[in-house]
Amino acid sequence: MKYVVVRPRGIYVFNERLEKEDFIKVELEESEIIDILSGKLPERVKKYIKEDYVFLGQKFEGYNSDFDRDKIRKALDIISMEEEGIDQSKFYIATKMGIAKSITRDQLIIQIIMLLDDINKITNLMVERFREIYNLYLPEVSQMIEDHEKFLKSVIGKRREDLMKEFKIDTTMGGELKDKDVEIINKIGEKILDLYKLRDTLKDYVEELMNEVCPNLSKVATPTIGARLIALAGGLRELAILPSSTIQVLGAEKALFKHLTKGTPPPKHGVIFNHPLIQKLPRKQRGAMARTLASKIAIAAKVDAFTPGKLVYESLIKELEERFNELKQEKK
Amino acid sequence: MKLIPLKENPKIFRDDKWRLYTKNLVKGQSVYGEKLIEYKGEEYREWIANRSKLAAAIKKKIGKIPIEEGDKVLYLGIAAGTTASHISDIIGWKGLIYGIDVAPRILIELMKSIGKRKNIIPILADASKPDLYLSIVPKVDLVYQDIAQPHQVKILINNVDLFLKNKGYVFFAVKARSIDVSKDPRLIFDEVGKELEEYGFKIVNKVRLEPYHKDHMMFLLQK
Ligand SMILES: C[S@@+](CC[C@H](N)C(=O)[O-])C[C@H]1O[C@@H](n2cnc3c(N)ncnc32)[C@H](O)[C@@H]1O
Repeated sequence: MKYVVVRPRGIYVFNERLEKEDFIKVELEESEIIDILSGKLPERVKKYIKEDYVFLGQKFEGYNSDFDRDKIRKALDIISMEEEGIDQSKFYIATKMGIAKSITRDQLIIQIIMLLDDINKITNLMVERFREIYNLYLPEVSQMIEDHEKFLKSVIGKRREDLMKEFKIDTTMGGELKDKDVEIINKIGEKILDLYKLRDTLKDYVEELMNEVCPNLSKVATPTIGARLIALAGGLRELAILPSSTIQVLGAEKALFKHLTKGTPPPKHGVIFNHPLIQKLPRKQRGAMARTLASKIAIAAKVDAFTPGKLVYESLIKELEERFNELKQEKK
Repeated sequence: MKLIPLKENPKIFRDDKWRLYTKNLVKGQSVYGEKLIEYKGEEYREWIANRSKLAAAIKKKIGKIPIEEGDKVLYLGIAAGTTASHISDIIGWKGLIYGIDVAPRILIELMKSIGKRKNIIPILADASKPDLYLSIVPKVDLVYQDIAQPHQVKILINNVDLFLKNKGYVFFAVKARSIDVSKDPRLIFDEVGKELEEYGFKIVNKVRLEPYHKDHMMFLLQK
């Protein structure tokens, strides 16, 4: 039996007393260094590994390993001495390549859902300002239409006289308008409407991404809530390893912290609160539904993260609906 | 202004207001927005205690600062390299820092900010899986760990077991909240201290990092 350790310059071979017997030179390429860092043995190394070789401290599928601390330390002492002063520049490239490989499509989902939040904030601010401007000339309409987007679509490109007829306003409290004023007001309104269009495009896009990257989570949680959960956890894998009790309160961290430190009641739900199956229930039943929903979401996320391509959402949704009906009955 | 080397480590300097400095290894380059100053023809970088837990620990009189020129360092949780850049100044071109972090995004920052500091090797890996980077990291003189994770003591032990030379030192930054948000930090630090001693560490010193870092403790350990 021999002990071996793979390093970027080659394979160190030790005998059972951990004296170095051999060094098989195999200069690893950057991509092979990444393989080793993720637990894969490069082909070029494999062909030197004999039946009775045992890896010291390193674990590769299909090969034997020994994790004895003292043996590893002894071998590493020898290796460290031999590697004194070797060029390290290779590792930079390997790390860069490793980073590039680690960027996954859930990261794109996170950025887009955050951008959607940004757009919502920005458009709200802009519409509020737009209404202020419009109030200078025709305050009556702004009061009549609460919905921002509807309001914009109703007034843009229209002359005041026409709007007054349309909304049956005899006398307005607004001031005089010049052509230039109308022109600018319309321009501002159109830009805001463009942002609404962008928002809708991005919503569709998140839905597409969610169905591509994590179809089970997307169907069980809804695409938007699913995307928010991924963002809160920091990634799909990160979400998949959370216990369902944590998923249930993701997005309610402040309330949770207050509960732990100040003893206020624990939060019953975070962002999953907006799920239609919770919203449609009376307040009293929502906590119980949130618990079930979180547990199904946990399963969906695990399947998406660790067995991509497998579809289980149908049965999960069926179970959710059963629970929903149960809780609805309970009310009566 | 005058810069005075610390008696605990002559590679670390202070001015009359007790601001800390290290001699800049890469002239003209600031790493995280810290001030650069000239003194007697040499360039120094300010080491800001609010940004770096090690600087805070030095200001809070952790005493011994066992980092020497030429040292090899395993840095777990290197992040954007704020603290690591000063260690890099101290160990110089003959030293080497193996900087581990799991977060690709923060490593992108690190790669940008370290620039010409070729004595830092960034490695994208999880500190709780040292078997994976056993292919790269050698025996080291110092382990520095700052990862804010619930199982940080276990992670430290697993790394020290493999990589720290006999009698080597460890700086271990502990954030109480990352272990348990609801417990009194003092109890947490006591428990961590006990765990460390049970494993066989000698606790050389420990200091709370207030007011620079809230609810943090820096342990200096020896194996
Ligand atoms: C508080 S920051 C470190 C700051 C740094 N020590 C400084 O002073 O400049 C914690 C870092 O630990 C990293 N981290 C957390 N868990 C980790 C793990 N299991 N393995 C490696 N790095 C981890 C995080 O990505 C983060 O960058």
